[in-house]
Formats: sequence, structure tokens, C-alpha cells
Amino acid sequence: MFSSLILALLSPAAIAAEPAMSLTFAFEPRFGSYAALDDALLAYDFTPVEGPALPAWGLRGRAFFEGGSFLQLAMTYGIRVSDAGAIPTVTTLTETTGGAGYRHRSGAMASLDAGFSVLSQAVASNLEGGALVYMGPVVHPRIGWFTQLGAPFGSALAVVLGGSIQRPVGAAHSIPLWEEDFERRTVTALTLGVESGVGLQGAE
Amino acid sequence: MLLFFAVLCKLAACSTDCEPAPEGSLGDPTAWEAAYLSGDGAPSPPDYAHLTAGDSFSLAYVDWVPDGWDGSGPAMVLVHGSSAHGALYATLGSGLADRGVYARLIDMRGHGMSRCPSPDSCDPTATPDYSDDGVYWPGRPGDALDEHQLVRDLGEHLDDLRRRFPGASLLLAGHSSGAGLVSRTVETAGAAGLAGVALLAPFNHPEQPQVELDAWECGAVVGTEYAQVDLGALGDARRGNPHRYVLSLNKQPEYQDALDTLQYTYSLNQGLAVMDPDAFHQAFTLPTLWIAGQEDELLDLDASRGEFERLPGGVAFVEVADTSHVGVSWSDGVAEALAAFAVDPAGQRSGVIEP
Repeated sequence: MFSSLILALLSPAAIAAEPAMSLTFAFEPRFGSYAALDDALLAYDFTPVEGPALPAWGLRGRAFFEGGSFLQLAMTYGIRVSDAGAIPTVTTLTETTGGAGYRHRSGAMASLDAGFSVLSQAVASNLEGGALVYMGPVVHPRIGWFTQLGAPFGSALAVVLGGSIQRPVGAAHSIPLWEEDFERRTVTALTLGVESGVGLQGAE
Repeated sequence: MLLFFAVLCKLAACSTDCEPAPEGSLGDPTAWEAAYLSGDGAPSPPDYAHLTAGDSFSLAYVDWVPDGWDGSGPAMVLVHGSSAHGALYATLGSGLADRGVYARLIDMRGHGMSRCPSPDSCDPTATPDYSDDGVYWPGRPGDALDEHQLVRDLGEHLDDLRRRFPGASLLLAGHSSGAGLVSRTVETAGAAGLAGVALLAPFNHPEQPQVELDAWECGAVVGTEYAQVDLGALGDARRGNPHRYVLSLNKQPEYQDALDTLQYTYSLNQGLAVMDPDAFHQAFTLPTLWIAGQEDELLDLDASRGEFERLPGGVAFVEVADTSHVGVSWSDGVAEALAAFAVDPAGQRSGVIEP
């Protein structure tokens, strides 16, 4: 991803174009409330997450329209393995969203996505184990900068800053011997993304 | 998009209707039991006395003393069942004393008048504080320091009677979970110095075959209508917090009493069951009397008989006609059977008695 970004920026044919469609790979690490239940995990002798960072990546597809508006679809997957205890705690994120946004001719853009997110944590001690699954709707506003270099096909590049707010619905687990210590009202995270991919030039 | 979310949510069981746990029941009283409940009830017990336990806690009990008692006859310690206390067994205490048996009806630690920091501070009319903070203190309702505390307390009562009446023939009896404590005592402390043991509708251990468990609240609560275990609290107790309240005891109004103890911690509950449900029978080498109500809705009569037949010292399996689980503790016929057993432990025969 970074190599294509660098190559695109250094290319003599690096001419900014108005995009019509783009498909990018996004590396979008998150810094959020993933360790909020560490005290509860420790009380059950599970391994704590011990930190807000969650490496995540995914695909972004965008369709641009005249006037600067665009629609986008995004899929994100994240994983973190915390092994400071006897048995690792594995945090995974799967998020599927769709949304709309606006891109100024300067490349600055803003968007708002909504979708469905599943955050799960596989936890275990020497005595017991299971999974905590938080699933529910998520909203994800982003601001950033997007450009396409090359025409009619070229490299699509973007840098985005966003925030993810998930509202888990239902119980996180169905293990009778666990109490309600693992309840979350929201899962929030700051996201910082770098995208690289291909774009199709639109009308000049 | 909303439909997509709805389908995902359905697949993920985001919301589930859970059946609530029932209010609880010990079974309906039989005809004579209903008359007993609507009548004058049990005879008035003597005043409470107190025994200082090894940790200086004051254990309450009532001694029913036979007329002319000279310390040379049979003396029986009777342990009440779950949620109850000794005064509810006044019919048995009175019936035993009337037949020449010295009867000590104890209030187990955390029950009845043994659930107060000191005798002076015990208010029988006060609602017990079941704050589930997991912190033990002597006299905490439905709690014990550890799973062997109740055995130690029962040993204190036996030692007290031995000291006071060295010439007496000592026997141990228990009803329901109280018989579980008696069984645990025989299993772990032995039966040396005891002339016999009487088990009244004993609930020795949760795995006994006659107990059928249900589940409510999406599996978070299991048990019977009377005794329900909160599995979440049980899990926490097993993870090192044994003083969590894990068991709720539910009695219909006609069985309720102001001194009932309706919440049990894991620590206390463990102390009311044998340690090895498969092998505890082997410890019952002394004469053992088993009494079961024919109308017991909690314990199956045939399964109880099967358990009795595994006791090496079992001398008699006595059925009480037209009598429920609780009614066993109100029956003068049971008192008569206990008294006969106390006088001649090895001489009893199986059969059916009237309540």
C-alpha cells in the first residue's frame, strides 16, 4: 500500500484528476475503548487487553458524482492478540458500513457511514473460557483528503481521520456462570486511515 | 439497510424473551398439615439458650428437657432444614421430651436467632440484610466462614452435651438440608460417640437422583421452585468469592416465618451437602433411621429408599403417611419414631407410620 502511494506521488504522470470511482485498500488503525473491561477480565483471570490500539484494515469503494458528493461502502477487519496473561485475549472487529460524503475539488472530504459492527473478544483462563460478542449498529464520520493521480485510470490516495461509535445490542455472552460484568453501552474509537488503490477518472 | 440489521440481529439473538423464575413452592400441605397450619401450631418452645462457638460467635438453641431428666438417657441434637430454624420444630422437640429424650433444637449459624452479631442485637422482626457484598461476618444471614463451619458448630453442640451429660446416649438428627449437614458431619468428622443418626427427608447433595432441576431466565437460574441457584453468582463464588449469595429459597405464604433465612451463600450452601455424593454412604456404619414423607414433592420416595439401602448401618426406612416434605417436621408420629430410635437405635423396623 505504501509503495503504491510513494510510486504514485513520484510518478511524472502524477496529475490530479476528478475521480468517478475508486477502490482502495485502507490501513485504518483504531484507538478506542477496547480495554475498558480490563478490570472485569482480570477479575475472571482472563488476560487484559492492556491498551486502546486495534490494528484494522479493509476495503473502500466510492462512487463520485457531479458537485462533489459521493457514496461509499467500507469493510473493515481488525485484530489484536493480547498475551500478557496465561492465555491470550483475542479481540477481533468486523465492520460493514455504507455512507455518503462530500469531496471538495481541493481533495478535502467529509463522510458519514452507518452500518453493522461486530466486536468480539475470545477470553479464557486456566479454568474457563468463552467469547464476548458485541454486535450492533455503528456510525463512523470521517474527514480527510482524497486524490487521484493519473487518468483515466490512476492511483487513488486518501488520508482520513474518523471516529467510530458502536452501540452493542443484546447480551455479550450467554454463559450462565458469568455475570453482567461485561456489559458495554458503547464502543468508541478514533480511527486514522491511509488508503491506496485505483481510481477511474470522471468528466473534466 | 434496516432489514439487513434486523436479520443480523435476529441471527445474533440480540434480544430473547426469558422465562422468569417462579415464586416458589414447597408443595401443597396435606389435609392434616393444613389443619396444623390453621390451628394453634407447634407448642411454645422454652427460652433460647446460647453456646459460644470457637470463634466466639453465639449459637442459639433450645433445649427440650424431659421431666425428671438425670442426664443418663438419650439426648438428640436436631438440625433444621434450609431456610428454617429450630423453633419451627417444636412439635418434635416437645414430642421427644415427652417421651424421655433430651432434645436440642439448634439454630444453625446464619439462621433464626443465630444470625445476629450478638444475642442482644438480634431483632426477630427485622428483615435480614442480604446485601450481596461478599463480605462475611459471624452471624451474617445465610452465611458461614467456610464450608466446614457448620460441621464445626454442630461439633460444638455435641461436645457441650457430652460435657454436661457424660452419661447420656448422644444421637444426631436432621431434616432436609439439616440432614445434609448431619450427613456431612458423619462423612467428615465420623460418628464416634454417637449412638445413632436419624435422617428426616434428607437432602444430602444436589446430585441426588430424586431432584429434577429446571432452568429459568434463559438458563441464568436453575433449581426447583423452592431452591433456585443464580448461576452468575455461583460462577463468581467459584472464582474465589464464596460469600456471594447464590441460592434463593422461596416459600409460599403459609410456610413463611419471620425468622426464615431465604438467601444462602456458596460457603454455607456447600456446608449443607456431603463432599462425595457417591461415597458418603460408607461412613454411615452406625445405626441410621431414615424417615420420609409419602407426599414429599421434593424427594422421590423410591429414590430415597435406594439411597437408604446404600447405608451400611441403615436399620429402618420409615414412611410417614399423608405427609409432605415440611410436614415431617410437624408430626408427632415422627417424634414418636425418633424417640423409639433414640431409646433403641438398632431395634427399629421399616414401615409406615401415621403423622
